[in-house]
Amino acid sequence: MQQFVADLEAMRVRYELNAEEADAIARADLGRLYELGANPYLIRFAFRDRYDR
Amino acid sequence: VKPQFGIVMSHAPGISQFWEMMAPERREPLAAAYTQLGRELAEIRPDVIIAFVNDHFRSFSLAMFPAFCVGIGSDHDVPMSGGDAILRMPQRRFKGDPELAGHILESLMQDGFDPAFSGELKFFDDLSVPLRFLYPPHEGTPEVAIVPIMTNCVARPLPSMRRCHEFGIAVRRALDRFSGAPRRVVILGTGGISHWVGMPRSGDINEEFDHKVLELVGQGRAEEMLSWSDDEVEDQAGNGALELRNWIEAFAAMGQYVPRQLAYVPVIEAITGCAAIALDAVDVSGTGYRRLAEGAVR
Repeated sequence: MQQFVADLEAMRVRYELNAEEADAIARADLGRLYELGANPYLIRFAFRDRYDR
Repeated sequence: VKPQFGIVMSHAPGISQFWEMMAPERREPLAAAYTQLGRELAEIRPDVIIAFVNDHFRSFSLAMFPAFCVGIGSDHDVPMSGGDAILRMPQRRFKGDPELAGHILESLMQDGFDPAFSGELKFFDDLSVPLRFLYPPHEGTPEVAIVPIMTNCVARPLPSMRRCHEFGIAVRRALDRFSGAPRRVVILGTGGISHWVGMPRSGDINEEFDHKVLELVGQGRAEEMLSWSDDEVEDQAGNGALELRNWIEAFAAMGQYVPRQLAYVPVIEAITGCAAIALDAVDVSGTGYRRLAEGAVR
């Protein structure tokens, strides 16, 4: 996740994310990430700070 | 060797993370159940716990995620490094049992299962939370060895519930076949019941579903869960309920047992319906220390 924050464009290319997927990550839109098919455990893992507050 | 006792219980990071700040009406029933189970383990003094648990993207990733994996390591750090701060518990190094784990692995392969194996599994809440409460850290690290067996409960497609049941039976058969030094064996299955992990409904608990599971288990009808589809379970009880696979395997590995529900609490702090159930073995011959409790025998 730190890599995504540091260089979203590089991560978008590396993981072949489309613009919508990259945008959902950038906006931390967890619901949209789920709708786009992200594994929910990975959403939970990547955005742990949001859940543990 | 034959299992002499069993436990199925929920795991969730929040059970440990938020234990101290959990409302007393939720913490106390769980604490009583955990204390009771700890007392019974102290009485049995198991040499080894066969632990049916599941990875949460700590050991595996979408690059490689085995359906089943047997932990053959000579020791296990519980929790994994870094997990201690998140889960708010000290890391302890439990012994493994490579001889028994290796035998289980070979026996499973003989019976048509081809699990992965690893000596370097990373444990998060799946094993760490139950062990925190069954063997409290302030008492030090117990002598008991752990043989962890991981089942994929998080990255679809998952092995079917029926396959997991058959897998548990195969583990039981492996124990029957073991010809090494006798060991006192306890079976542990962790996970569930309802909770939504990283999903829009995160925070929900479906008590009705949880009670249905507990009723089936209590009535010796746990095998009815084998026909449940993953979509059905996830829809009703969240992706976290798919971890009931670990329970199914534990039941099958026990063989005959009497379930004894010690607690069920919908723990909002852990966003999970949390249960703790003892499984009293009924086919341990010659030991005589496990009384046959009243209840359903499957």
